[in-house]
Amino acid sequence: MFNPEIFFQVLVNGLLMGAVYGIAAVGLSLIWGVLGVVNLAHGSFIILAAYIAYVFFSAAGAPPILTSPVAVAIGFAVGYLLYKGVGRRVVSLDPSTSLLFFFGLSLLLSNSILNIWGPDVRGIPWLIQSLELGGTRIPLARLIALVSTIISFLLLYTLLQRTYYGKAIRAVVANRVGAASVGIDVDNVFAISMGIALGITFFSGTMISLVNPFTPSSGDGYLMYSFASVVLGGVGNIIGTLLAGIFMGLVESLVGVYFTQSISPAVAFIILVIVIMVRYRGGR
Amino acid sequence: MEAGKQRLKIGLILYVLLLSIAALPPLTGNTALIAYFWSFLQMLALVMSLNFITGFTGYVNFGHIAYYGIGAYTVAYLTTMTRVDPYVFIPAAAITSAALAYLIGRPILRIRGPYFAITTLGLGEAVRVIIVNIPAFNYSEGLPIAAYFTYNVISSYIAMYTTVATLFILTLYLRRTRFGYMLESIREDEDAAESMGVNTAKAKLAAYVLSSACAGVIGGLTAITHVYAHPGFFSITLNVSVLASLLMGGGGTLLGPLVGAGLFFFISDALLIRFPYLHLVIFGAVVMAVTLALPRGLSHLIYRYPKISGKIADA
Amino acid sequence: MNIRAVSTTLVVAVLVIAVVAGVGVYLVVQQLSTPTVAEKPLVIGFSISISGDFAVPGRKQLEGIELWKDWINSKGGIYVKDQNKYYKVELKYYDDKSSKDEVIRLYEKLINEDKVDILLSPYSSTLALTAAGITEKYGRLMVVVGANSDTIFKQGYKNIVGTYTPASKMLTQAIDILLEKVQNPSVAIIFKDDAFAKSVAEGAKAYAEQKGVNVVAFEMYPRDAKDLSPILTKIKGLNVDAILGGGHYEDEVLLVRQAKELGINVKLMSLLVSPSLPAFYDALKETSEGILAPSHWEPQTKPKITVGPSIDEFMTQFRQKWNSEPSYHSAAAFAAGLYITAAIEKAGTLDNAKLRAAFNDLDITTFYGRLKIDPATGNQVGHELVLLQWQGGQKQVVWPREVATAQLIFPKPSW
Repeated sequence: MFNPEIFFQVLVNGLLMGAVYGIAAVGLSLIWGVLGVVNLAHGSFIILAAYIAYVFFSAAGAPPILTSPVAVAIGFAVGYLLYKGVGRRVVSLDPSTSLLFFFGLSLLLSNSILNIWGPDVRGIPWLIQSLELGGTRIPLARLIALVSTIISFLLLYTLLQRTYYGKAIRAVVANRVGAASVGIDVDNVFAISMGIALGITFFSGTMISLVNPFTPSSGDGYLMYSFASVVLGGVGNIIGTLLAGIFMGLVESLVGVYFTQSISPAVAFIILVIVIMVRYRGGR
Repeated sequence: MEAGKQRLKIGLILYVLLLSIAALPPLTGNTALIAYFWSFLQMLALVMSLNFITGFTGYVNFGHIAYYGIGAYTVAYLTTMTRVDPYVFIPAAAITSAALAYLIGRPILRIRGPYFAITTLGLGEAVRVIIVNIPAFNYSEGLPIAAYFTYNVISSYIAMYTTVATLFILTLYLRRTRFGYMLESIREDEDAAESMGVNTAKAKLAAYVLSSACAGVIGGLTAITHVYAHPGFFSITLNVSVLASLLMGGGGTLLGPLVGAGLFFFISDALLIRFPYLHLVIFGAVVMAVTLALPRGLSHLIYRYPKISGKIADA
Repeated sequence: MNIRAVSTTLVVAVLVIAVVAGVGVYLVVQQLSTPTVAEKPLVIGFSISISGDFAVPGRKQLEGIELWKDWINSKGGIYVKDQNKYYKVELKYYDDKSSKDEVIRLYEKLINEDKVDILLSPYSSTLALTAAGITEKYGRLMVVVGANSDTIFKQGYKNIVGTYTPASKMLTQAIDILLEKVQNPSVAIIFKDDAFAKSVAEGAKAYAEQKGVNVVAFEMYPRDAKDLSPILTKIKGLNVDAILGGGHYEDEVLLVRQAKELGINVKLMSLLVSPSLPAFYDALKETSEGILAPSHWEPQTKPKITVGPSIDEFMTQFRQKWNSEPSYHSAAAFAAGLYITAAIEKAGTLDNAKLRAAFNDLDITTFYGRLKIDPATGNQVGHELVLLQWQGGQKQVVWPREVATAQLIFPKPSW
């Protein structure tokens, strides 16, 4: 017996969580697409931002939605400086070696978080409420996360489409050598891309702190979702990545309600393999 | 090429040295030493087995752990069913892992580069999730086997020692034969290799199956030593550590796994014991420093200092 | 000087000599039998999760053991009869990163290289089960603390001793309450993909079915789940009286939060571990109202102590040393130390086999509660759980009634 009320709830759940998965993956997609390196420390950066939001909340009562612009600024600075510091060398390494670099960075980050804030579970008890709309519950914090995600994503998109640096970034993605030959400072574009990517990653971390509890080791789970979203949506394709995240959220929600949630990671894996096979058959 | 030969030579010397030293602990009867060396040999064996696919063909594999876990469960499950000595089932672990690797490898090895890496990232978790949903495997608790046989630290050691020796011979074989060169040509440029008449699909699959079967054996032996097969075998952290060891040492070589596993094992162990709270922070920094300073792996130091290493090799 | 005077002097002299000699001999003998302090300390070895998934309870457990070490050493140490010596206690521990691979290696090391005298288990059922495989191999005693999956005690292991109430009993009190308050209750049991959570859930299911409670859902969720709305939405349509289960920290807090967001109102909701820690309330605030959870110990309970410090002493010393509040993990770890002390004093030896036998007849009550094992399996049968409930930002003991600090709020207020 099919219950349309539950079905609608399932779709809403999936969309709301999926948007968070999606925005969390955009930064990973950008770094991978522009700089050609796979940021294995992505999950640790997300959780670092969640802790930043937590600090603002517990010290000043500021909800994550107000902290997020600050987190974006911090993320941009971290990314820009990271590139200026060691990123240039990391980008010149072969892909598997740069993976190793980010593995080290992720150990360093997540264990520093553990030593600074301790192992306890943290959560931000702000707006744990929901709207009721014709039998469907819409959690307010998640709704805010969805709306902020859409707004920030549109801002990012405009930035990439309209501004000089955005165009330069796209030019570098399309053809690195060509971009350099028309006078684009590729090195600077890389630094700014890394900044933007970590900025949006930090933003997603504050959104995660808005909707979910977290611990210093929570990053691994988000890293997995992000990888799947990037590969499904296309490396460097930020719209694809966002939509893939939403798709993952919907699949998880549907499988969980109409089958069993315990098996959903395996289902996600099988879908991932099928999509990759079709999409990148014999590809790069 | 000259340096490559030297490295092979040094590798040979070091392995013979290692295998001679590693033969000593059982003679001393010091079980602490035996257990400690066993852990190192296990790590080394995992790195050496991953080398067949990731080192030789350049396919970064995060799913190695899936076959390691399958080997462990095969041995434990058969032991609980038959109550026979678990070592009997080591070949079964190899066969199960190889068969599954063949089935899974056929589709996923068509995917290339980072896409392959990310796909395999989900493999271990997917296998784990399927296993913990199977009642016969006792869900999330796994299969303890202590009640079914008498554990003996010496036989466990000898088994792992033999595995490392076998992997050494296999690596040597790959370094010397056409099959090995085929794999290396895939790593250098897969399309070029194909256009030169190399059946890359077949070669990759063979390397993947070989690598996975070895992982199955190591998993089976580990389950015997742990007297327990459990979902923790599918640990992405272990997979990343094995991969990091291989990359730190330098893939596709004989010397690389030994140097990488040695450094990874002894550095992380020393830090763990001295700094219970900060060891992972420090280790992360060490890994970053190594990649920035020696991007091609430690065993490539020989390229940089061919004269010194030549002398070591001649000595 | 006459003869009489001489003889009197002689008698006095003899008496004096006799008394002096007697006192002297007495003092010498006394000296000989006074226990000396052993030159080498007694080493208690274990691995503990300082990092990784079990870092929260692992660190709390470690704090409890460290405090016990200080306490017992301030009392002069542990007396071992067959050597007539007092042993100071030392701890030897390593971070196992919450990983089974590390546990294997570290227990091999503790046993063979560090040669520790007595072993404690790591925190968590999954790690303790792994460690037990090793200690059993060497026939070494391991006192299991911070782990209670029934599977550990069903392996036929002969050298383990439990200190927690078994996992299968963790939700039975909640089911008892439900039976008392509701006619023909129905429950949903949900649990994390984890050895401990599964063990609790299976125990609860068996108990519920035996008592005629209708278990309408029995579902597992993935260990890394970041969204529990699917499993909760599935339950929502079933209109159950109670939700029982959970796993550890992140997932349980998420479970409560999403149950509220999805408007799932039940009469009773009992989780497994997270509500016993203050971080649970900090992460949820008033959303925590009415949530229940079993606890192995709460400071408000007042057992009739036969061994060790009083609760107040323990609380004061703990706060002094660590500048934080103890949890049941800390209390149980301290009690495990007392348990070991009692066994050594009873057995009069450090021989592990004899110690294990000494535990069989031991029945003590510490500030943590009663401790007594089933001789055959080593599983804990003496210790009783309490049920706690968050009420107005306070953690109250509500069950059993004899030790309750507040009236149970039932049914749970709707969100």
